[in-house]
Amino acid sequence: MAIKRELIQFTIVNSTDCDYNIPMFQQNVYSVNATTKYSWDVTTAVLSCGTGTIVVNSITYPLTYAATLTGLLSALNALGFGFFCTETVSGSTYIYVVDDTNVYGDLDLCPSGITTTTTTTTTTAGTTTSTTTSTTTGVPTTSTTSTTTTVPTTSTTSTTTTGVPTTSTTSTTTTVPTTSTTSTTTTGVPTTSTTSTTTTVPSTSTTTTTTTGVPTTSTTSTTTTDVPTTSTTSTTTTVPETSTTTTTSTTTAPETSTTTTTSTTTAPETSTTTTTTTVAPTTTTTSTTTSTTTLFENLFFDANAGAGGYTITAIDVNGVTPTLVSGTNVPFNTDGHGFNTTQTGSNQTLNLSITVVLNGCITVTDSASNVSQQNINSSGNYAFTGLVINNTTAVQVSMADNAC
Amino acid sequence: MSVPITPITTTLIAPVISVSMPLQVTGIGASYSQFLQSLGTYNYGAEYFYLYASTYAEIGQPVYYNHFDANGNSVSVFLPFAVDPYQQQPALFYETESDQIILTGLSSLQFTVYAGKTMYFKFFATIAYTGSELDDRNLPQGDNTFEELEKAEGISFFDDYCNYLIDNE
Repeated sequence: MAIKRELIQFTIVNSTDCDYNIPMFQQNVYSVNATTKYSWDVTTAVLSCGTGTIVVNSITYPLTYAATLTGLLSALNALGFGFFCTETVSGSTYIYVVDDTNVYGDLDLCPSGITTTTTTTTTTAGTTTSTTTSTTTGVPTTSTTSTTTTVPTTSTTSTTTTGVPTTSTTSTTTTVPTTSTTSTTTTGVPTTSTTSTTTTVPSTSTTTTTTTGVPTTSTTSTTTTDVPTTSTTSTTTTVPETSTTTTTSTTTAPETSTTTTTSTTTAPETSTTTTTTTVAPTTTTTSTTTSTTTLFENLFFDANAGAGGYTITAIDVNGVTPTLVSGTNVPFNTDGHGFNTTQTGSNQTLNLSITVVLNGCITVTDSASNVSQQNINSSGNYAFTGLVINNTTAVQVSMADNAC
Repeated sequence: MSVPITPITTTLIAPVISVSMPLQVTGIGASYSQFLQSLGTYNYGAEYFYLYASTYAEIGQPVYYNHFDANGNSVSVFLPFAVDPYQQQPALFYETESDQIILTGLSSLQFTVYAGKTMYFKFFATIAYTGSELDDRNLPQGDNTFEELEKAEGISFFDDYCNYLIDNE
């Protein structure tokens, strides 16, 4: 062993628009002195869902972030690869990273983890009387319902929605026949509610709108073209904090009526749509399309804090092996592995088989935010009991080095 | 359903986050990459720190020394780089013991480099490394190759020659 003394000096230049917390003198910090730049155009990207994925070195890593560009940057930097930043070029907004070692792939924001339900009902009626009733129980994350009805001489349309979505938009356009009655009842108070009704009024028209509950912000816009001979409009509203009502009236009533209802709703994963048409019209065409995608990732292994000292070699919940949804399957000692287990409910047991090289700690936060920790200090099986697992909030298994 | 965004890959002329060592009197000095590669073979015990930037916020920020203890657990130590409220320049000098902050490649000094800013960082280090044949090795058979040869042969050529010179001065 020999010893000498020396002056060592560095100049550190950050020519980006972002602040970076750089671990100097540490090996494998790949953004330093790198020149290979990866840019993603996020100008039109929707960040509102707060989830996404990114591919790094052919592995897909899940992202959970505050629904802003800053939140997305924090989540990307927390992956522990390169340093991410944003820039604006020719009016387009880009996220970029400079890294000569890691290879980056697609960035997917608000991907298939969201359930989308689309229901389309078309009724062409030639009979004197037509009754259409739609009842929706349980509010999906995003729901779009479009109904087009060519209404006969007498038409009654009734729509009932149960459940409170975060955002609700209802748009109804009716070209009413000789006699038309439209009744819309909404129970539950969404955070934001927008209701737009356009009616071309016939000789006699009765429109009744009842809203129970006071949304934080409510905008109601009603436009009526064609003034009927007799028109009765009754609106009962428990007034929200902010309310805007605009009414415009004019003329002419047709013989044929078309009703289109479009609603977009943000809420849970399960959607049941039942459409019943009684008194069969001469010609009736009904098509219902429901699509639900992707298993819910209710078990996620997170090693953001750094866990290189031990490897998880097997996972089961109550003896049932979960299905891989994202990342790679066991064995692993890295970040970003998502699974779906069918063993949901309370008092579930998560069993992990672990091979240990260095001591560590595993923290499990279940779907009800209950936290349990165990020191990982020898190879073997570790059981986390009494867990609540559901398909709304993923169970977070946080892997870290060092004792708890 | 969203559409995945495919990245555009380009090669920059110069890095956006660069760490470089200034030019030496004899020419271009070692690169930061070479310095990192030397870690492990060479361990640097920092004795004095000098930090210079364009604002006081940059030099007065929390600096953390991250390393691992004997049990393999990571330890993060806060270094109190305090700014004197009366100082005229955004520069800072900090004295440590040479065995207090050791850079081995597994340890790091972590601080924020602000957007569009440049920081100058210097330290005086005691460098410990695996020695060559000419270095002092502190072995029982001798400190270097010449002493090993003398002991093996039962002679003391250099000491005798030295004593001869002293005696004849």
